[in-house]
Amino acid sequence: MQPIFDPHKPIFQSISEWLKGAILTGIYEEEGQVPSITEISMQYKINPATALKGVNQLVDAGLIYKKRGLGMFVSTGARAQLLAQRQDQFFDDYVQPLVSEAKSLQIGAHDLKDMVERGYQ
Amino acid sequence: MNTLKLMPALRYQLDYMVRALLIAFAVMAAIVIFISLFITTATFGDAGQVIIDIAPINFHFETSSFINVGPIFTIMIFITGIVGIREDLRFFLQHGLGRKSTYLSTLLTSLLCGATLALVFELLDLVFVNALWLRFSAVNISGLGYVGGWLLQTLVFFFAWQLGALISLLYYRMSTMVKVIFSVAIIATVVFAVPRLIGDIIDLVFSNSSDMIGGTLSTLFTNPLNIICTILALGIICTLGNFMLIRRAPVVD
Amino acid sequence: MTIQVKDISKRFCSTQALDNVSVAFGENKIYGLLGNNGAGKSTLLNIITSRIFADNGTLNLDGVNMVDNDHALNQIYMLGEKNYYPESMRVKDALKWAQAFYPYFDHELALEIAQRFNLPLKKKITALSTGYTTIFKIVIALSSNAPFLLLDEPVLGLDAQHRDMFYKLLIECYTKNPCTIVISTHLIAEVAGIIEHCMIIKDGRVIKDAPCEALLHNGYTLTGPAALLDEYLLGKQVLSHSSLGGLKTASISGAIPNAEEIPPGLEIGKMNLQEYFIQLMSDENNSVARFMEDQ
Repeated sequence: MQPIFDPHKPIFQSISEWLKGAILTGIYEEEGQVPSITEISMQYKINPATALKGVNQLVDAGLIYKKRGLGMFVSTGARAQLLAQRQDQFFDDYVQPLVSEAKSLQIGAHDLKDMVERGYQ
Repeated sequence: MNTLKLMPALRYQLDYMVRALLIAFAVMAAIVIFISLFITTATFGDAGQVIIDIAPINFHFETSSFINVGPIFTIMIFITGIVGIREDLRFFLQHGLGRKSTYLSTLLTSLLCGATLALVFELLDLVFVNALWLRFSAVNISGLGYVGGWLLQTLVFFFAWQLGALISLLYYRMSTMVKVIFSVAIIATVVFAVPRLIGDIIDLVFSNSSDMIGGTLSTLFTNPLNIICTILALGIICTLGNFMLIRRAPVVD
Repeated sequence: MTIQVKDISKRFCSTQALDNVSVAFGENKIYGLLGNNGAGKSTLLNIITSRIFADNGTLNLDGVNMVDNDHALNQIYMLGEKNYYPESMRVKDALKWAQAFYPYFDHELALEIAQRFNLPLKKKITALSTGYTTIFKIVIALSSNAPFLLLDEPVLGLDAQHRDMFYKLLIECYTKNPCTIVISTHLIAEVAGIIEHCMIIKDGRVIKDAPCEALLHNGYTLTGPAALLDEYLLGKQVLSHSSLGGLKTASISGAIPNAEEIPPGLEIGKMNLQEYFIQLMSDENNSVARFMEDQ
């Protein structure tokens, strides 16, 4: 899984979003090790300070923690925390643009519901 | 604070010179062996009656038959002066060394190489002059003795090196226009003036003439001690010129 | 350690290569010296390393004049465009001499990097191709462990794979052994993520000197229907604009406004370094205005 470098977003933000996504999908398991700052900055050719800033956002949020001399590990409960966060954001991030696009295409609420149900099948 | 970092520079320049001189000696030895073989096989009983003079100014008075390799080394040192100063300046700047170090290192290397080479030549002369009709010292004046001969030989090498460097640095600092004029002037002098005047000058030096130029030249070049002083003075003048020129020499190409 | 460049000017015949340039390079940061070809990037680096002399101005390393100062020059390794090695020198000898001159040169690291790039050690430097000449210089630069690395067009002639290797290696060396790195290049997109601080140079003048993030925070793009956008743009400092049918995009200089301040129908975007650079370069009037301001 690659971080998506949106040129219109700060790089550190792309890094933190990528790492969150990777934890959420289980690429990095709870209590498992995440790549070091050096590895991240080398892999994506970014300044180590930028990588650190991105990773620190997760440290500050308690999603990962540092073990002295060993590296960084995913906290227990990080996945649940991220899941809850994403669920909270789901309406803003996905439903609202969906509805506004549906409106501009003159798709009614009822038709949209039908489509969502079709998507689930 | 301006700490000079001379040691690596000296090591680099000496390393280069030792290798260059060893190659030169090897080539020279090959040529000498070839010539000796040629002489002994091609001429019958008349071996040794060959004079090879390559010196621009030949100081030896005896009309004996010697193969004189000294001048070739002098010319080699001169060319080293021309080529070396620019290459070394660029190389040293690439390695974080400034012009003052380059200058001092070159000065020390030229003296060290000159002195060592002169010593080797004196020793070789001791061994080979009578045995092989082979002379190494470029200069060899009666009445100087071994120490004097060594000193003079050292100074000749030193002067040749510094003169080469001076010419090189002059070219370095000149604008294209001046370079062209200077080059034409030098070529013109060498092609037209030198062949006509060289005889006159040599006559002038040894004529014991009493007019001003002739007198001065005689004094400067005839007495062994005067020759040493003259060459030393010329070397120092070039050295000072080099210092003035290298201080602000830009390195671009 | 800090290199302080103050009021440096340099004139070559009829061109003003540098015009009152003042910049500083602090400890352990990665700088980007960005500008088009001929903007004066190399001239500035050549002056810092005493290869050429400035017409006026001062150069200090921690307050000590560094012009032709061995102590200062030995803190810097410059990877320059020109080849300053003797014609007959072989790669392995050059590595040996680099060790003699740079006290912290890591010979083993040099051999390792050389091997990774398949640099032939026994070849003469002058016989290397353009790409391998650059690689040779990279090997020495990254192994020198000098506190300052000045890299003038460090990927000249390198193919995509080697460029990628170089950038990764640069970061690896930098994290292992932090130093100040100045990357001078016109390939901005490639170094945009690596550099921390941006110096943009144009016609011999430093027109921007700020942390990348702050620089990009000071500009944004707006896209929307032409009429709506034009109305909003009144009184704003517009860097450039382009339109496609009725849809118009404008780059605006200034702090990024909050979403509430933007009229509905307009979409706000962040500029990336390359876009910002291109807009800065194409923006003649702006620089003329700035020039007049300075006079």
